[in-house]
Amino acid sequence: MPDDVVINYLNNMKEAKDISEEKNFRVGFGNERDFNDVEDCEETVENEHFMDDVARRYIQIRSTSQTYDPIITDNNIPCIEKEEIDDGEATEDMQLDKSDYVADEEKESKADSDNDTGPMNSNDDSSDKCDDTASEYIPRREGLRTQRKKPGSYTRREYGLHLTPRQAISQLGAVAVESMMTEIKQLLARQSWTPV
Amino acid sequence: MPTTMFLKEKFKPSGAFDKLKSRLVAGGHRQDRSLYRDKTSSPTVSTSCVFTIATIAHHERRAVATVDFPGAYLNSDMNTEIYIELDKIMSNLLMQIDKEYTKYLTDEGTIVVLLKKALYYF
Repeated sequence: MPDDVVINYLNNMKEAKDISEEKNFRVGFGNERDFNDVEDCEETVENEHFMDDVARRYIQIRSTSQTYDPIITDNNIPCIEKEEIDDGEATEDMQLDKSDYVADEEKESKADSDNDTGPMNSNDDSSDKCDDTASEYIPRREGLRTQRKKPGSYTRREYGLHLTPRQAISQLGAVAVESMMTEIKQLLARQSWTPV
Repeated sequence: MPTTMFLKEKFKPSGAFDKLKSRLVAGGHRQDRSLYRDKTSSPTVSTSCVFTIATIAHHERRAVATVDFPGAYLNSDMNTEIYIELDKIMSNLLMQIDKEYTKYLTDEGTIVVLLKKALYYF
């Protein structure tokens, strides 16, 4: 929640003058002053910004100059230390799985190095090392799946199992003509129609 | 009504090409709905009935045989007056088989015929 909204809400409470002794709300926890003392303090303290002080005391305001940026850059990447896995109690199957996983990681890293993905490689390197002096990372949102296969390239496209006469003649030639002649001959033999 | 001829490739169980079957169907979507309002059923044997008969036949040790009627739909006479139009390809093939149909050829290269037997609709 933005800080200005909380402060404005508390200021409006001050003007309402109907603050009851019971706790209407409470954000955080303070040992020095409780919210039950708000009404008493309001009468004694002459500070106009009393409620702002209350807000600062009971509400932890994050004072950061950084603005929210959904793009992960080198500056706001949290440096998380990898947890060391204790292999002493692991079974053989788990060790095998881990070795497979490491092998897959090596394959992926090789594939990434082979493919020219540009800034994506710099991101992977910087996230692994967590160096503050990493190379410049240019975030990008578009074209993240350039290596993905285009639709239709991974499956054989089939529009239908049936053939039209033109398709059959062009693909099969005389066999198609003979098949259609057989069908018409059957209709004529059964006297299915009379010409008009 | 318009007609459409479609062909279907048939393969043997081994995967080899067997034959090419063709079927002439009429465009039932252009037919007057009042002509077949109460006649839309197409009864077929149920799978449970087939298996029940097969079980009884096996229990009584009977000999089982299957019979197919090729072009069975052509055995039913038409009660309504329905005209179909054969397209250019069908008309050319029809004139190659029977040259009497040449005089019925329209300016558009098609032939209109009056149905006397039932056809498959699509």
